[in-house]
Amino acid sequence: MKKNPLKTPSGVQDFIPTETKVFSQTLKKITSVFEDRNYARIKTPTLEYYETLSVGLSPKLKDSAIKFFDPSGQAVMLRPDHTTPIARLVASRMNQEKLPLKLSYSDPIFRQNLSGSDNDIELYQAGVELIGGNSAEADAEAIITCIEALKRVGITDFGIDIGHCDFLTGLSDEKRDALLNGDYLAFGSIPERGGKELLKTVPHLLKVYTLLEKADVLPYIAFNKGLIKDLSYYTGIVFEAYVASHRKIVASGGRYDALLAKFGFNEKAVGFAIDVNALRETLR
Amino acid sequence: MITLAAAKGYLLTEAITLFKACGIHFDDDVATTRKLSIKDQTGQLELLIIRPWDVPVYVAQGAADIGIVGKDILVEQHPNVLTLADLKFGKCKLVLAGPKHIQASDITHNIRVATKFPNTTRRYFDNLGIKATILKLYGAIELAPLTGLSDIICDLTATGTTLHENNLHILETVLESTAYLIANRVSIKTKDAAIRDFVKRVEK
Repeated sequence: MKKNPLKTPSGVQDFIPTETKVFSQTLKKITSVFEDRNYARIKTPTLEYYETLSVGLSPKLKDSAIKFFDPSGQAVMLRPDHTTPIARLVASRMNQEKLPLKLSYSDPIFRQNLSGSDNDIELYQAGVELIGGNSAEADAEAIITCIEALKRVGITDFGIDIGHCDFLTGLSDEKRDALLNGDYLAFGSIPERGGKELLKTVPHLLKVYTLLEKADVLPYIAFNKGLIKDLSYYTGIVFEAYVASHRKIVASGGRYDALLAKFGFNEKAVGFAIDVNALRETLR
Repeated sequence: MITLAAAKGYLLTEAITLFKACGIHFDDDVATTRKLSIKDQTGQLELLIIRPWDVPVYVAQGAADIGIVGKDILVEQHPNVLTLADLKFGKCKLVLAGPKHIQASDITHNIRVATKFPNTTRRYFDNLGIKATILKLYGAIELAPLTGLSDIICDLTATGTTLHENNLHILETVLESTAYLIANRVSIKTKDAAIRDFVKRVEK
């Protein structure tokens, strides 16, 4: 077989001008929503010290980060998410700012591909962090911002599932693990999914529901008692957006009240990220 | 309509028996048709007939809403899908087997193991604290110890006949498998009622 001397590693891609144009237009639409809603754009470096960032990373993210040694022998990593570097930055240079802090980003993250197929390792993400307080208003604001961004990109057949850590109260570790792994057989049933009727035990979500109703976005929303994400990270509401026709999850987020404190800044926060790589596939 | 990816072979035959029992009928003879996709008589279910190892990929990527595949393959591939039900048919075991002169007590460091299931095999030996040399093969695994390619094998067996015919005997059971019903993570949201209804029907 002939060797291709111009090949690139699997999981990354070039953009020629026509591709860049579509890509930037998509990003611009998303970030214009963030700007309209008063999120200020920030940037963190691609490269971080392993030791510094790992304070806030879940074991899973630590594993999937691309790590190596810099010339001085220090372990470094390519940032595997945005929220953790932003928490580090806010705790160091922005800890005197007036709260709430509304921040946005639109840059790639890097994760190793541990499967056999050519999954992306350079993942473009655009998202926001809303730092300070843990009100229902803040949670609803994050969800509505996500909906507005997807709408502005031109997607119509999307939906958002909302879960909450309080749905897990009273469940054994085995049942929680079963949900985390999507193993509904071990959980014992397919978790309930629906509307307001599921929220009696979680008054906080009832407040969020009312705010979403006021914002007229309820048609996009389903509450899901089985939606659960990394428990070492999320502490309250969690949500994910999917595009029905493409069966793709395109955005994911939630409340992470313990992360900033790990970097020495005792504040609560909520945020989400749009997976722009997945979003592009639904726009083809 | 929901799309179901089904593993060709013995699981398919039993799946069709199950479908019939819960009132899902196809015009074609599913077991012998050369078509790769067929619809049931109501047009509510589309069946994709594919290789067992490909079922998780179809479901994870959303080319199919749900799938029927052996637990053995799920454990090996660890795909990003939802597990909905144990359909209880298609019983088989993943076992360590070797020639008559090897006993379970002979399994020790640097043993050479031929298998179609390298991930599961590696995890099994890791849990035992044994360093094994794993050799991935695509078929005729039983031949490996007979030709000196490996010391033992890690392979599926339902009745033990093939092992016996090749002068191999079972040393340990690695896992017991049956057919599982799996689903795409987004399909369960967009086709919520249809999938729940399907699960209820086949679980009876």
